[in-house]
Amino acid sequence: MTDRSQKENPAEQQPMERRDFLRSAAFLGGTGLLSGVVAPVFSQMAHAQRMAELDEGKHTYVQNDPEHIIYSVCLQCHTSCSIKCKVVNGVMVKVDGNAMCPQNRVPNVPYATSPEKAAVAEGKICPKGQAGIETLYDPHRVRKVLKRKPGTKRGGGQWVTIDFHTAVKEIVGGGDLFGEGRVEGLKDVYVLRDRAIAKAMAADVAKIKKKAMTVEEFKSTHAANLGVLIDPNHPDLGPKNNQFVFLAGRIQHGRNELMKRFTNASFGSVNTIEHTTICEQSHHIAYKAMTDKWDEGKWTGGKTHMKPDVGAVRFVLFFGTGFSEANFGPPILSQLMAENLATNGVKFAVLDPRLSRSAGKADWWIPLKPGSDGAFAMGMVRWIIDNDRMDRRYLENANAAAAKDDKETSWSTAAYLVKIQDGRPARYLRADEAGVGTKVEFVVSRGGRLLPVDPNNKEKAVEGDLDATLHKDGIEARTAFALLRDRAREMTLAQYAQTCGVSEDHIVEMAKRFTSYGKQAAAEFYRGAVQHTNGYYNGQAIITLNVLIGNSGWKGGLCAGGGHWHEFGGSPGNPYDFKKMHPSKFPAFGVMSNREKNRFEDSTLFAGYPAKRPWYPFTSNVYQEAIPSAGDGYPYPVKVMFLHMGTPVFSTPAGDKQISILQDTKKIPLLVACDVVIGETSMYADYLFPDGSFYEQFGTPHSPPVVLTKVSPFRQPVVGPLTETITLDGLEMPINLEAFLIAVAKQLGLPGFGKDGFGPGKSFNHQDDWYLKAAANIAMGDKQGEAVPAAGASEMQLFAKARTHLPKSIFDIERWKNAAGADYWPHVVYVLNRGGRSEDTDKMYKGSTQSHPYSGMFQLFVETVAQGKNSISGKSFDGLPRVEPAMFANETPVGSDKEYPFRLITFKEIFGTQSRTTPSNLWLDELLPENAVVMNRLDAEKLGLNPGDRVRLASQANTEGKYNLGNGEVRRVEGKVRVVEGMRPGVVAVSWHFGHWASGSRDATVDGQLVKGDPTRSRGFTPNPVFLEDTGIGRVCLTDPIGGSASFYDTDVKIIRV
Amino acid sequence: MSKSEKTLDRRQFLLLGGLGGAGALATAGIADAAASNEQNQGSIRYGMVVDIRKCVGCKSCAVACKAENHTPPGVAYSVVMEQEIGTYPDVRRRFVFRPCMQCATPSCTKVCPTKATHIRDDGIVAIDYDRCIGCRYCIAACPYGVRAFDYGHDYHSAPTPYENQPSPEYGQHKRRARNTSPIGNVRKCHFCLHRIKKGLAPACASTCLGNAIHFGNLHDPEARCWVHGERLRSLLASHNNIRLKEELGNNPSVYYLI
Amino acid sequence: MQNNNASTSPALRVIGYLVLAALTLAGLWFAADKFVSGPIHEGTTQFVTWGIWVSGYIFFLGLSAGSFLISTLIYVFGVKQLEEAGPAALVQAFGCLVLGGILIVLDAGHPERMYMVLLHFNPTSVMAYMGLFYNLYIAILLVEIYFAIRPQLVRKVNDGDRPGWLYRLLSLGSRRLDAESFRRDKKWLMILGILGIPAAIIVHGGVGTIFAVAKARPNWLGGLFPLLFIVSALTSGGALLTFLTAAFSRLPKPRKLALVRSLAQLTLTVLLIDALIVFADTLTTTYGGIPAQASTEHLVLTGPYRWIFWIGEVAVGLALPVLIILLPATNNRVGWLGFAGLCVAIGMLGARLTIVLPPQITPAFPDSLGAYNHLRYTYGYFPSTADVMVLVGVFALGVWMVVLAGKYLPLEEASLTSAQEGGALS
Ligand SMILES: Nc1nc2c(c(=O)[nH]1)N[C@H]1C(S)=C(S)[C@@H](COP(=O)(O)OP(=O)(O)OC[C@H]3O[C@@H](n4cnc5c(=O)[nH]c(N)nc54)[C@H](O)[C@@H]3O)O[C@H]1N2
Ligand SMILES: Nc1nc2c(c(=O)[nH]1)N[C@H]1C(S)=C(S)[C@@H](COP(=O)(O)OP(=O)(O)OC[C@H]3O[C@@H](n4cnc5c(=O)[nH]c(N)nc54)[C@H](O)[C@@H]3O)O[C@H]1N2
Ligand code: SF4
Ligand code: SF4
Ligand code: SF4
Ligand code: SF4
Ligand code: SF4
Ligand SMILES: [Mo]
Repeated sequence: MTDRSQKENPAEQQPMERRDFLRSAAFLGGTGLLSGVVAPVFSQMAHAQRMAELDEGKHTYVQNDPEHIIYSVCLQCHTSCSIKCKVVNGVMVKVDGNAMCPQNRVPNVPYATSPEKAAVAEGKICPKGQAGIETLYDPHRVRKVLKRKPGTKRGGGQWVTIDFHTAVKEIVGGGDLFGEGRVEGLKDVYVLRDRAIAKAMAADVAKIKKKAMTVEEFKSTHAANLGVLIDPNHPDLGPKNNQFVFLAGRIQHGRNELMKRFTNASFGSVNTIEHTTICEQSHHIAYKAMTDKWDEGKWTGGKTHMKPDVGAVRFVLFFGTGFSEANFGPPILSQLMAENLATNGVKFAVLDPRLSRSAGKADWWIPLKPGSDGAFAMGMVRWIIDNDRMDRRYLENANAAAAKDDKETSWSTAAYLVKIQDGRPARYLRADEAGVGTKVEFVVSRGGRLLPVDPNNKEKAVEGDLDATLHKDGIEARTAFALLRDRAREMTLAQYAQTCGVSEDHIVEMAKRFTSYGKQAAAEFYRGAVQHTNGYYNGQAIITLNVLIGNSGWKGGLCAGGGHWHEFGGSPGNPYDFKKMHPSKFPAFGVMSNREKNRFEDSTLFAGYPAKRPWYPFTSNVYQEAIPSAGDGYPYPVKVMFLHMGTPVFSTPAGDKQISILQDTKKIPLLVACDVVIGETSMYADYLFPDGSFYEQFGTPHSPPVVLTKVSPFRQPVVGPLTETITLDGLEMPINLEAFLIAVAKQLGLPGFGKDGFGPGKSFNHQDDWYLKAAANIAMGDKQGEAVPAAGASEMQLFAKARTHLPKSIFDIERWKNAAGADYWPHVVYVLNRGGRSEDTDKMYKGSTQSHPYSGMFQLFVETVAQGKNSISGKSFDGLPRVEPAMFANETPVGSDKEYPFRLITFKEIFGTQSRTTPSNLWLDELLPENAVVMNRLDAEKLGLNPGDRVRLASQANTEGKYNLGNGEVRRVEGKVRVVEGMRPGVVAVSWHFGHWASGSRDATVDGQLVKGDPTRSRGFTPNPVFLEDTGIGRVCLTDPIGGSASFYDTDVKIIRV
Repeated sequence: MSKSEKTLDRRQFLLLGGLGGAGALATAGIADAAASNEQNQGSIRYGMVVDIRKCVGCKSCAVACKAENHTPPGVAYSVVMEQEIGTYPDVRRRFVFRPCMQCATPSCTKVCPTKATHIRDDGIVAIDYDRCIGCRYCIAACPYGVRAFDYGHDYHSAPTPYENQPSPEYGQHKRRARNTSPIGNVRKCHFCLHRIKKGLAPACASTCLGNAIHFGNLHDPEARCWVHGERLRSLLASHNNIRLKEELGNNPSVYYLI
Repeated sequence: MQNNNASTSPALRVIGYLVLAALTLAGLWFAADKFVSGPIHEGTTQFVTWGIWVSGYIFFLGLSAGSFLISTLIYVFGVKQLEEAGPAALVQAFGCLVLGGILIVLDAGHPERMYMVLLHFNPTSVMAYMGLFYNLYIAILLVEIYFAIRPQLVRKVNDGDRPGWLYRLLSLGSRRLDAESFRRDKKWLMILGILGIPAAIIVHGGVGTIFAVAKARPNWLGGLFPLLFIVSALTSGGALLTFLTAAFSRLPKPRKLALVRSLAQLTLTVLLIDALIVFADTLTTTYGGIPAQASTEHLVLTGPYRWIFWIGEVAVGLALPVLIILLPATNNRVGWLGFAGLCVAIGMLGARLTIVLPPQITPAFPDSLGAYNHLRYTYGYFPSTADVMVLVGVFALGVWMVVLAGKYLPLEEASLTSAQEGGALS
């Protein structure tokens, strides 16, 4: 199309030029004088004619034509917006939002609209998404497999290119790969291969944990196979297979499941660790704990992420987050809030030491002290209870049936009796203990009578009194609500206010407001409130606010989102159940290398407190511990580590302390990375496999809960791969994570991959085999007969036409069809033509409630946590929200030091993302070329600093404000001062995104040739190296012992002028 | 079909729209389509209504503009101006999106010696790159500082595939090459004329996160925003609206709701 | 100080020529680069879009118009004491026009299309009229110069002076030397002069108007600029003429002194008027204190441009020359007066810079600073190497003109004869 327009363009210009020229020549033939006088007369005509020409429907503009559009999913940040990629001549020329997806346009273009029609409408995406093209065509991307040059140090920047297949062989086979002696390959770590033995051992290890079996008994039972264990004296550490760690970073759904299949189900290692604790984990864990589902005597987990229904809410509290800068995610949140603001005048407050963009628009900006969110919330809890402003009716409902009677979708444990043991609330009283029922029922008291409660019972409504106490044959118990009230009353409002450094009126006003809009108020929180050592408790306190007004499930209340179709199967409608499609699944067992999801007390390593390094029974994906644990070889040494889409060294507080470990080939003998560029961490790898950018990838991301309808965005390749294409068993494919895993699996002979990988006759040889089956699950739906329509002839044509530019290596319509299954194919095409599947926005609500409400229980008292102990101090955790200062792992408060008078915090810019985009993305770079030390004018004046002055930051943990890359380069935590009004005095903020020392900013030598880096890509600086290290543990930042969150906001710094 | 017919069925559509999200949205779809017909009608004056109360300062508009028009480094058709108002702790942040005002009495067209910069019947002030001599008088004369001279910078020393693609501006598909237009020309926001011609709203308005940029025909009393479907006149009537530097008499086509 | 280039040693002169040649070539190089690489090496920004080239352009245009108007004093109003300067003034007017032309052509993004200005003439654009009258003005000048020096050219042809071809060419084949022909010369000089006055005024007043109508730049806007530009045109024209006559005139001493003096006095008068206008303007805008205006004044009075203003314009361009021309000790010394002329000319160049640059520096919306970050959007303007070298080159070219004109064009003889003949007739 454009070719035409291009041909036509000169055609459009040429004659004009010539005519102009002739005419002018005629005039200029005379003297300038003549021409000057005559020209005006003619020029009127000339002008009119010229305008006509420019306008003659010559406005060829093809990029919005359906055949130039492929819908996919953005990954500039992890909000995973649905995007509309416009491709002309095989080049991506523009990205916009997908108007058919409720996440990127409210109201959306009805999903049933034909792609031809839908093409005219655009959805909304943020500046990062708009700048995606710059990221896709980043000239610093890696295209070939790189290997650390033998004889050179990790991080030395010396590489040799290596053939993909050779690299895979070396990684699997091991050997003297770097002239540094023998390196064990994956095959040497893939020791336990017999599923039966594994099964038996796993079962017995479970017994050992429950103290139902001794190590000696285990050793005698498995005498023949003890060799497969990391340490026969500690069988609970699991098989040697666990010494392979897959550090998955920011891995995306779709790839995540693939990684788990590879690592857990096929290779038999328990160690897949994602990035979540440097992200927002304590937020997730707080929600998960408080929505933990009681199922026949077991706590089976709950929702990790809920949000205010910002489209209809009438009052919102944002704790340490907002709607227009970060969070999940700017496009949908901004759209809904702005519309709500304009049409219903929603009132909102932002609690943030920094005047964020959202705070700058808020009705109240409350610049509270960092880390005091829990105190503020508990202050509100106290006022609400003291003034009886909570929703008693809601709180008294003790089970599903009672809730239903009140048209509520959720209920709480407010009335449940909690046993007090050794003076502390320990666990919920069970009905058998109270002699009123079974041990899987709980107990409430109604008018002095004790009643058993089955929380999930939908028939027999049970309500309980909020304030009840039980003293009966040695049992002492009180209702969760009463315990909460007492906890809240441990401090006066004045004390709360003082802890937060705000006025008491603020707390009262917020509490009053919060309880003045019925169910249409909500409290939202994210990183700012939880990436603290007290993050979990802060989260619990804030969620408690929502529980007190019982806003969950209501229009304008708290929402869990519409959810998604089960792309990996398991529901009746899904054609493919991936879990079952594995010929021989490995029961991976043992303690994880970062000791998450495990209780210290249960392990055979337990010999009293403190543990050598912390254990994390309540959380998962404890990212910051992965590498330091390998450094200490605790609980066991790591032999092979894969690093994917993460740069822990750069993005983790005090992450620089991990560099020396990564460089130590004794601690991590084989380090393999998969990255799009040579990143801050992948630069230390032994092998670096290039990955396709997200525009070249498949993926099945999940939308944030603020999307109230069911959505399954589907990521699919939009342009041809920019990485090298390889041939694996006769199949062309681009080098990317999938190709790498499939090749390694085949080389190792792992079940679940290659021929019959999905079971007899169903092979797994190409990424298509994986993702198109997932697409089929989405297309056919969860319930029977829930399939999307089959694509008609014209849609089929469009589908192919829009992909003519894609090479066989990623797009082969027959291959795709077979992978998806011929019967499902037309439905799959229907989904792919729309970038996934979604319910329309008119299905968001049913009357005054959400269509997909969270229907379950909220726990005011969290039993599981109350049962746990801090593995370092040995002290018990608390089942109730608790106001706590920032602490080291051993529970000694961080305290304050006059030498370091400022609290350092960090934040995200709306036009910056993860560790990407700015400043390497030149379009975004122009919006903010470098970050700064943002401080209040009063502080600047005190220090005699002017805007633009250069300063360095230093902390107790990093008194020099320097860090060492271990390759001779020492960098400084140094930047310009930015002076603002919108910052709490005494607090300074440094934004994320900047200060890269790799990612295309540094030179590298490949095959002896110098590949120049672009130093401008390292502009600005990262504050992470000054964040406090937990020196008692070593080489790791302060961490929330419950939620596992890395602490980003608990460090005091001094500001040194340079 | 005649104008009245068209506005009629558009209104019916909105009626439906009022009932369900789907319809309301479709306003967009339809408004777009309808708008494209508007091309053939007289008395068009394209304009914007920017609701700065809703602007969240994300700058997606500015980046979308770049991507859409392939503007080189050093050329920005639109910017979002930020301001901090007040002193601690009583502070607010204000964001103002500033495209070309498409003045009805523009300073730029007046001074342009070659009429390269000209005002179209639809109110859009466009530039004929093949006539512009690059004298920059228009830059000196524009009271809103929206015009930019193309000095010929490029983002990447070796152009990326994207950079090698022509810009769709004015439907001319000019490829970037040294010393050829638009290098050496003055450039500016043209309300994405090439998109309007196809019935598509400007790139900035389409992606606006705060639903703050409204676009449509200011002359048609019934005209609705191409993106969000609101009736433009109602919007203007519903809040205080101002135009920048009203006193200069340029009669801008961009209104701000405050 | 003494003026006669005869006394300067040949060695020095050779060096002088070499330096001059070097600068000219450098200028040429960068000028050529503009056509190869486009505008990318220019130092202007999106805020300060007109840099030192435009400043130089209006400077030379001013000189040109000024010199021309002075010539009209002679040919139209027959001011006797200036007679000898007539032809020189005309040639100077022409030379400066060429120099200015070079700068403005280079400044355009697409010089090759400048004819578009005439082709698609925009009646509401002051600049369009500029283009028009620029042509007109050149035409008049050329013809007038011809008549002004025709007799002497003819003589040279007859006397067989070399280079003969040059003189034959320039005299356009005319051989007449009779009184009749002289009268015709004078008549034409008069007519063209009269025609030229509006042209010159429009051309330079027009440039002033280009700025004066820009409501986007409060410090340009208003009725003052057209006037100011005309006055400063006269000032600079007179100043340069004073300097050049003092430096190169081969007239006998007494007449030379008389001539230089009257030129100097003329210059002084207009200079004071010029100063008055500038003073009034500065005073009112600073006093009024409208931010947009005052901020610019601060840039000039106390900001980065203070050196150009206080040293260049006030000290060198005003105080010094006024003293020289008034003080008895200096005002009867050709050298000093010539020097005074030079000072005023330099001051005028400074004035051009402070008129063009500062008013552009503060962006239309100060908030827009930092909204988009690129060197073309940075606050303030610092000329690039290309900017400077081209300007220098153009000045060098100017010096060549003086040298060559002085060497080959029979300017004073011409003025003498035509004057005598004319005198004899009256
Ligand atoms: N633009 C953009 N959006 C993104 C991302 C991105 O990279 N860029 N990434 C996505 C990801 S991965 C995540 S996890 C989310 C994160 O979403 P958010 O949590 O909303 O983003 P952050 O900026 O990390 O949050 C830190 C905020 O808390 C404030 N803050 C700091 N300390 C405290 C404190 O002690 N108390 C309170 N109340 N506030 C405090 C900071 O000033 C800042 O405003 O964003 C997602 N969306
Ligand atoms: N100071 C400070 N630090 C922070 C934050 C903050 O607000 N302030 N935010 C924290 C938060 S919320 C998060 S989530 C983390 C995010 O931090 P990261 O998870 O580190 O950021 P990402 O950009 O997701 O991943 C980083 C690595 O993945 C590589 N990569 C990018 N795209 C791809 C791809 O498509 N494939 C592959 N294989 N690799 C890819 C990049 O080159 C880079 O090396 O940062 C945390 N760190
Ligand atoms: S919010 Fe994140 S995912 Fe959505 S468009 Fe922006 S960068 Fe892409
Ligand atoms: S804003 Fe400036 S460029 Fe746009 S029309 Fe008005 S004067 Fe012309
Ligand atoms: S730069 Fe071009 S558009 Fe602007 S005034 Fe000059 S010719 Fe007209
Ligand atoms: S209308 Fe088009 S050109 Fe104008 S600012 Fe918006 S995107 Fe840019
Ligand atoms: S996109 Fe909309 S909300 Fe975002 S800055 Fe631009 S105008 Fe404001
Ligand atoms: Mo995150």
